[in-house]
Amino acid sequence: MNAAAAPVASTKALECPSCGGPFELHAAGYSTLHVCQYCGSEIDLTSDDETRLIVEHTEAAKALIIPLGTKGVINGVEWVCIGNIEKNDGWDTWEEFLLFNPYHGYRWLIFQASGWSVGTPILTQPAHPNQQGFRYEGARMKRIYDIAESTIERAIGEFYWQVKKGDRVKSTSYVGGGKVLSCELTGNEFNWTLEEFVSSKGIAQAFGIEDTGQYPATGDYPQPHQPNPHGDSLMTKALVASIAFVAAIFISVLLSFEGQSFTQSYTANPSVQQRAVDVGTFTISGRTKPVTITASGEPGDNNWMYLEYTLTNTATDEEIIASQPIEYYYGRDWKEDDRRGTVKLSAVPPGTYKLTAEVLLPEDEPNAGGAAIPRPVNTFATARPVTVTVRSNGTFNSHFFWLFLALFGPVIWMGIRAANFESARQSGYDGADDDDDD
Amino acid sequence: MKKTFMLWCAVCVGLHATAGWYGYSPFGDGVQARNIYSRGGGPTHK
Repeated sequence: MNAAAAPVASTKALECPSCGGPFELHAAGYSTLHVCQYCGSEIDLTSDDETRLIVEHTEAAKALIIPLGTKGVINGVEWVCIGNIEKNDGWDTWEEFLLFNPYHGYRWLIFQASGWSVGTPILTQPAHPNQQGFRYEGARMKRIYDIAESTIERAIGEFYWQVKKGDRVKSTSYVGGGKVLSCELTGNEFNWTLEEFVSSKGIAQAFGIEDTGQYPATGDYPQPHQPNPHGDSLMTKALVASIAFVAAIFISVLLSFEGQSFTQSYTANPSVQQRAVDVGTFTISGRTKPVTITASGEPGDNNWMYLEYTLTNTATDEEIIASQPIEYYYGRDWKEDDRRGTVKLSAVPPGTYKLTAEVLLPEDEPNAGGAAIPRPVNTFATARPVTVTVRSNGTFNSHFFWLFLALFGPVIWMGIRAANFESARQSGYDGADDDDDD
Repeated sequence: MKKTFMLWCAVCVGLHATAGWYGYSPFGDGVQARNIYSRGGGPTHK
């Protein structure tokens, strides 16, 4: 780098001609005004003697969040805080710190209750500030604050233009592409500033000050360009959850290929006393496995059958009992069709098992004396076919329910929080719902 | 946050696979007592 070509801003130590308070000019040669931070007196820096008093004040300046002269590094550039302005628009009060770097010029550090922004003055005119919306660097900018007048409540330090307490300025703001474009209107002159959000922690670290906090810890709503902390990579997380869910389905499909399957058909008849049927014998080896028993049958109109399963370990004679009703009921305008049903036995221990299904009919139902209750003969259902299939594998639907909840629950929760954040953000805009694009 | 979520997804799929491998169901084992049948249950239509 050619050092001779680099801009140089000398620092000069001076005294306030009003109160004698010492101050340093950090942008000597650039600044045209200094407002004493001790007494508020305005000192013209353009005159030959460099410290001509314009207006003498005796009020003491408030302690600033970032004291004048403090240096801090933002985005790799060291800035010195040379001025401070406090503005009020009747609703809110905020502060604007003027930063200076001899190589990069001026920046605004804007402090609101909800957080900080770095504003870069831009020389172009992106649009007329009467427009509701426009495009800027590929982003669709939308007006969020109507043109409103604010009053300068305080101005201390060095400035490159003449400014004083009580000055009034009109401004409007637009947001788009994660940035804010604000415009100050002075007569026919429009001064645009591109604002980027900076975390309060970042400002605290940069300038060695206390963390002032940001929304939601402070302020009523987020700044227009504050990144949504809950919306961060929401779509990516939804995609990851979806991939995980599909992977789980794939694993379940793979597991369904192992195991044995047997099917047995049977025709139940009230006149036949033997109602038990051996469905099949199979072996579960190595680890516990699920057993799935599926039954389908024709119980007849408005009738039922009942299947009682006995899964017997052939080595130990231990029995596992399960049952399944097969029913079919209907009326003029309704129907309950349960002619097919599935029973799933979980974690059946290793061993060789025989499954027996006993088919029970309404005619078998005992009365109080133990004898079968006489029933009218259903001629359409004298012979009632039933088919039972047993498989030494299976998948529990509840697994998918819990998995879906575990995977997508956090995504949905984050989505709701992100939506709430955006809703709070919109609540801070002027007429957010009726703004139109260009 | 993204890594934590990916780890969480991996754990969930791992638990799902383990439950499927051993045939475990969080909602009971499906085992019932003998002779619990009655009239099937009958229609629930009112």
